[in-house]
Amino acid sequence: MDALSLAGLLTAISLLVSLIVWLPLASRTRIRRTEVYLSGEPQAHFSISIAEASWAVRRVLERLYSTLLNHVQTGVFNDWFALSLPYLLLLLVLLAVATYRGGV
Amino acid sequence: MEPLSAVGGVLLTVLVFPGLVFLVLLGLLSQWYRRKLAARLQNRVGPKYVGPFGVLQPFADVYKLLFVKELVTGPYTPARAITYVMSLGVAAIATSVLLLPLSPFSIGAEYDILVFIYLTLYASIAFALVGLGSVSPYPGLGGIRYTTLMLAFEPAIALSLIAAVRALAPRSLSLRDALGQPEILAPGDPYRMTVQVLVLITAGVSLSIAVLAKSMLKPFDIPEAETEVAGGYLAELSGPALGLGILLHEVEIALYVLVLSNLVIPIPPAAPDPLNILASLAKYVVVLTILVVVAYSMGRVRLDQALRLLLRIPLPLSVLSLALSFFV
Repeated sequence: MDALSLAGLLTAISLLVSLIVWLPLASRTRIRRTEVYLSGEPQAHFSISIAEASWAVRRVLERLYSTLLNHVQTGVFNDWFALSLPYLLLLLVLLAVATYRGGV
Repeated sequence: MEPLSAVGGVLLTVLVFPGLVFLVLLGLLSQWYRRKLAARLQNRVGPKYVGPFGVLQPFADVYKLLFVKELVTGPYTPARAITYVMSLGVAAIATSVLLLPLSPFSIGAEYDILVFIYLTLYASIAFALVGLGSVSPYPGLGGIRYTTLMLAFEPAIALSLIAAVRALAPRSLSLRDALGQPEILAPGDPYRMTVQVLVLITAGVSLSIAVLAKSMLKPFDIPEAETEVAGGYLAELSGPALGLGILLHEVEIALYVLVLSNLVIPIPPAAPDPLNILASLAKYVVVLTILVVVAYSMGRVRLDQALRLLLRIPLPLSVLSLALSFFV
């Protein structure tokens, strides 16, 4: 069996086992819905923006972030997708090198 | 082998040993051991009241959450989807043990280490989804923290695992071969043995730190700290959803420590006979003890400090171990 077939087989087994775990639990779970408790504050005061989400990455990888922001990005979202394709290809090449066993 | 008995064997492996039931038992017993050891290090008593020496406390906690408590949730929160995502994480971890040579029905293939990495990613994705999918900002912050750290610990884990498997099974790159029939300690080839040991040490250190981060243990465990409890991805969960979250967390730690301990101490190899299983468990206890003692001797770090630590130590070490593994 090759790795791809094995991944497919194990994914199918995972889905089956997840139903075995989930169905008996879901059938007996009682759900009660409440308001979100935010220390007494209105929910509008609490929102997380993408900029807040990436604060640690920006702080640690400041030079990379500023290069991306000032020299690479165009402001068009679709360009990020186009930019990501060569990086995905690079990732696949790195994976191929990491698992290279010699020979052709 | 008859096809029906093979299917039965695979199901038995995934559901009972060394799959779901075994991993849940091992994970919860490890949680008790971790809490007891951490308590001793901090001059506390630790779990005490349920069962002898409090050993049944984690079982009682999870049983109560799963079967007694109700699931309290906010508006717009997909409670059933959250429990399913975590069930899928537990199932993926339980299925990935089919790649370990602890059962006669284990399955292997060339490059199956990539399949193992793929399957175990489900647990991380489940935690990130649960945090980011909540309406409340508190689990959202926890989810952000987790996904930020994922940027650094997942590549380190993947590269260290590939490097260790390259060192032990260079011909097949199979996790099952690396754990079950490791090509190590060739007596006539001291050069190769030295390189293998170096790869295992660097990959082992890198994997240990990355596993601590993935498991959100100290020093990466801000959500565990009382004053910062708002930062945890499980903050808004209750009842069965929280029980499944705890279960997923514990089986994930159990699986990674089992694989880590058998990779860095490849002798005796893992095999489905009682003596080898006992040896694998002994290695597990040794590595878990080292991880807990190291982890609980440290203070907590901030998110950016944690990311910097992961980018400075385990990631370069994993790249180094991978580079060294080409010389085996």
